[in-house]
Amino acid sequence: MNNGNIRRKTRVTAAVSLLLLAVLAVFAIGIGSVYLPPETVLRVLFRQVDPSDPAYIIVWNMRLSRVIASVFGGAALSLSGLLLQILFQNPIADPYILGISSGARLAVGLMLLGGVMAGFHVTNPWILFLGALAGALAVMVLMLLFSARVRSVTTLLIVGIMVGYLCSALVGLLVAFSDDSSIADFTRWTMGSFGLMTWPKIYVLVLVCSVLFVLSFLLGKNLNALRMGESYAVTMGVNTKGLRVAIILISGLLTAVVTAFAGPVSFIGMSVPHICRMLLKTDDSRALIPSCVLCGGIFGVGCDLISRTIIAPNELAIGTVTAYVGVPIVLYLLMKKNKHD
Amino acid sequence: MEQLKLEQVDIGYGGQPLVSKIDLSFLQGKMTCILGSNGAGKTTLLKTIARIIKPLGGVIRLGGEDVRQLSGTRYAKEVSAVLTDRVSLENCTVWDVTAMGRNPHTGFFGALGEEDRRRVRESLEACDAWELRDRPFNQLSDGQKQKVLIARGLCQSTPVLLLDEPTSHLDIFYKMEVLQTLRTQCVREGKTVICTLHEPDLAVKCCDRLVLVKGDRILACGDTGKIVQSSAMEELYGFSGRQFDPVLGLAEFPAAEGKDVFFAGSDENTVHLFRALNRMQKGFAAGVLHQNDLLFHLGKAMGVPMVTQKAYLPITPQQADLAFFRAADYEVIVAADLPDDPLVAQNRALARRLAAVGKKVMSTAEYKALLERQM
Repeated sequence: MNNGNIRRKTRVTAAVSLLLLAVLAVFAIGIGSVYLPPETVLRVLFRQVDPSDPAYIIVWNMRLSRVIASVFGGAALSLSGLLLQILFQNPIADPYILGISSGARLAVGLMLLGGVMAGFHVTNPWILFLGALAGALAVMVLMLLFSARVRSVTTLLIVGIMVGYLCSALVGLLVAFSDDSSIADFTRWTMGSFGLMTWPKIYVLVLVCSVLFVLSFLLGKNLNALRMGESYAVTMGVNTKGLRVAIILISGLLTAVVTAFAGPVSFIGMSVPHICRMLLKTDDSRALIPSCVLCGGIFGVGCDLISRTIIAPNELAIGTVTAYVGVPIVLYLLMKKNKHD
Repeated sequence: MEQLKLEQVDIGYGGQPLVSKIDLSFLQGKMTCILGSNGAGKTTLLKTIARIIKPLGGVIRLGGEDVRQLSGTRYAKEVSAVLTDRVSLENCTVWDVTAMGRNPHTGFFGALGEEDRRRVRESLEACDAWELRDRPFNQLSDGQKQKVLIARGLCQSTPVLLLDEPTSHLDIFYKMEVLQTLRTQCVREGKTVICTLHEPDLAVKCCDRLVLVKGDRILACGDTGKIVQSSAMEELYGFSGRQFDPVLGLAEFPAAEGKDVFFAGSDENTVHLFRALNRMQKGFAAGVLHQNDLLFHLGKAMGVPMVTQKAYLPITPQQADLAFFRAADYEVIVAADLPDDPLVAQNRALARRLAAVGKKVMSTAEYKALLERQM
């Protein structure tokens, strides 16, 4: 049956993506101001090299953390986008469009630009993380409240975009009253980069993401029932209220954890789920979730590699690269879809 | 056997009751149709039974058990629903959509077993959609989509099947096919089917029981035959005895005022002339018609003035006189081609008498030809 086909396709795609991800990661670790050939990278990773060796220091102290962050960051944003697309039954829903990233941005702005800290300079990444988390979740809850009242998904998207604008306006207000050094800190954060990671941050990112990846996968069956709409899902025995809360919490947390550490990163959340759907030709969440995680990882590490190499020694904001790569893909898909209809 | 029972149930949205204090029971193995005009609360009633919206009051019982006590999955194994929600499923074949119905029966990850696959096949076959199994759902016609959605409902393998307007937007061929499938499910599988329909004629023809919803109350509920013989149908649609003949399930446009044509008796041409004149919005009357004549039901549904006689009784001179006086006002008399039989002897005489007093009398064939020339 065609179901078996899809399962086979999913497995093949997963195996190929995993291989691609590994190869890309090894190259990404190797490429930089000092080039390390893949075999050196592998030797360092498997601790076949003396810790005092420069290659060892480059890999373990600089590049590896960044690559891990970009893999998990890309994966988390893709999965978050996928979950939101399923929830809102809209192909262009993603944490960025729905204002969730903007919420995190506002919260971080409030802290870095001194609003709530009343002049105290916040540099503690954990407080920043909690702030971004709170901001992202606040917008999520707001969207949830709206989604309970507003039936039309288009209206809901407009609400999300409005919330995003409002957050930006508030940030603008904060910027107007801030000193230059805070603004510089904040701007650096909003540019988005996977380069600011330390090992403790990596541990948190990997732990939170891994748990949420598994949880999302466990929701697979119910997410599938949701594809026909909430009413149908109810008649198939799905606790839709609980599912809504679970999706919003998981995608909010995923977005928050990435945004808090790497700044707002657009377009991964929108484009990667589409790419996966195109590749697998299925909407089955049980297949899409793992492939979104893998493809998101590839997308993340690829874009990060471009962002730090294309104008080296300077660095492009990760959001800039994801937009360059993501916009054409989304546009192409929309055109193709319209032709279909 | 009572499968599903509503006790003093209030339904509505946002705390505002639309229909209050509903007492209804749905019988096992019967097809029940909920009828009512747009906005009467048919869909709300169905969605309340499907547990998509909560009742504002009262108790719904399934096999005697309060449904609030049943978990979502447990209820989904008892009651499935086909809704009017627009379903857009990308990258989804007909087989996939149907298999979604297995959701309450499958395990944690929703893997399909042998039994599940068999049910998918059976459901698609029951809806005559097995050949569509590999087609993308989004590329189907409305009629095919509806068949597949019903197959998905069947695939849930529930004793009760709810359907909200399963025939809307379908052409008559698909309407009949869908309803025939549902009838088969009732008769052969003993399923309890509860649906809403917009076509009272189809409801009368295919549903065992009717529930009429009007305003804020249940106007009537029970056996289709009994409801049809009462005046409830007329009251429901405000037909006041016209436009709809519930016995034959006949819906007709109301006849125009005016005194254009009088039909003396009826033959095989008269039914076409009735319809043709009605399309032209001409006024017409007939007499004397037997009450088992098709024209009697057609005329009744259109609201045509008629002089009638009971079935198989010869027409009396009094009835013929009444027809004679009425016919005098009409411009043209169209006389049916009647056999020389005592049953209709008075109608033959009626045409002759009208001609004798100088009325313009034509045969049905002549009048038909005249109308065709005018076209």
